[in-house]
Amino acid sequence: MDNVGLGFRRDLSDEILALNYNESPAFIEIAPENWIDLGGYWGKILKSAAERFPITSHGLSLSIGSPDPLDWDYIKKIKHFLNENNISIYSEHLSYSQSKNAHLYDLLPIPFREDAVKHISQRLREVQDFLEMPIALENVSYYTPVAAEMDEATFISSIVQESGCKLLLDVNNVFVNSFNHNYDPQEFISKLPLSEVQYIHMAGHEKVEEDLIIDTHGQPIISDVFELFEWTLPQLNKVPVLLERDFNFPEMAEIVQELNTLEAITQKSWTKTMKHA
Amino acid sequence: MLKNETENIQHQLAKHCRSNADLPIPGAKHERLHHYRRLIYTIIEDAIESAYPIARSILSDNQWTEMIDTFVAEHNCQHPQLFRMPEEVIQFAIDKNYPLKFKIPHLIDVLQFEWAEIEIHSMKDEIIPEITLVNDLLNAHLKFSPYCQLLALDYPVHHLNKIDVANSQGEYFMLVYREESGTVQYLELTALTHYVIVELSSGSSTLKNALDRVISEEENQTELYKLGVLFLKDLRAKGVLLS
Ligand SMILES: [Fe+2]
Repeated sequence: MDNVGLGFRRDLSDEILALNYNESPAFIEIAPENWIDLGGYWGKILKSAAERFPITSHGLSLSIGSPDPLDWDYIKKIKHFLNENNISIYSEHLSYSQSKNAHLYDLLPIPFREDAVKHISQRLREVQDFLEMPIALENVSYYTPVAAEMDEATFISSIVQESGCKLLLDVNNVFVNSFNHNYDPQEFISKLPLSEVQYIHMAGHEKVEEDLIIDTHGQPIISDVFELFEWTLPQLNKVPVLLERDFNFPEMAEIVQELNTLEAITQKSWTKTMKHA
Repeated sequence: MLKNETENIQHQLAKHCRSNADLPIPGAKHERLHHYRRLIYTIIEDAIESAYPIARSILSDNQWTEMIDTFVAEHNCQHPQLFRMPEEVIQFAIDKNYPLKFKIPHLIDVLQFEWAEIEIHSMKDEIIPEITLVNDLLNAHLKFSPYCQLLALDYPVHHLNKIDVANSQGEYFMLVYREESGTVQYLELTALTHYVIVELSSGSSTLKNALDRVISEEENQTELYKLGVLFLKDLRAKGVLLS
């Protein structure tokens, strides 16, 4: 595989490391929080993974949208970890997970407001300056808007523009949000600064109510999300694509098949784009 | 830059997720908010449960739920790394007086014992300089592996399935250590062997100094030295003693 990677979860680590060359993902993605300062058995696993695969990262605790101050001790650790493991992409979530000096360990929706745009952009600039690299910020799935004064696409675009950050486009999240909040996913994607997309996520989800999908990463990707992906790719630069699978793991062969399907779509879309260009 | 109003809304949402209190959150679909509460609660509960399976098993369902509910609502989790957060439960359980409240006097010891295993298992690798083995274990200053932790407990929590732990209050000592493979083991210690490790690992004492300080008139000095050396050889075989 050339373009498609797989989330490196502890439960999958043995099987990923045992894959032979032609079933291997192009890269793996790790959450720095799950591996920072980790030695012993898991430290060795990370080392063998780093020897074998290029690594991208997807952080969980930056909490860029929080009213709480940034945690610089933690950001220093992130920087050290990225350098130590030769990680070129640092992605994070456009959400917040910290409030009143407490971590909540999940992604809360930020009010789509002008003051939040300014606040987040300022924080992004500080962190990016310190890390000496742009952050790829992910559009997250959300189950309710909160005190919104603008639409989500405007919110995301303004932040990308004001902060100089890159975009991690999670196609499944666009689909989930378009379903939950009743908008057109293609129209939404068209409004984003697509030239700034540095990284793509694909995943499965679960419909829990008639009108609600939860972004679980515990199911295979559905065909609607594949279609949206296929529609989106020709509009983007060639970037890494990640399959996120976080629990409810099937046989590895099934995951490899999903990776192959994604890879085939990228090959088709991007070869075509390049010919046109 | 962030307006007070926006900031307050964000804190309200977080507070709702932690306490399940019915708080007004402008512009939100209130029938959807419980999903955030559920997701956050489950993430925190799962992290704690997987760190403390034994503590989970000795608490009743009601006690467990009370502890997790209160923890999520009242405790400000400090660690940005979720897998390290459960350590914070130990002090929380002490502060909340759960051993007394739940009538499980050994609860804190169980939590400490379970956490020591995780801490040693996940402990950051250190660069250990090449150390030559000493011949005279009795008189040398010795180096110990950084991947070990001594525990002094009031209850024999390592015998939970065998004896009535709650009614066996006493002095119990243990050494939790990591093998080369990464596997974590524990070794039961006596008050004396615990003392020996504390003294020797501080770097200021030799085995002979340490034993001489506690040996009584009636004891056979040579025999005790011999046992001490055997004990150290065993620690060396386990990878705990490096020199
Ligand atoms: Fe994602």
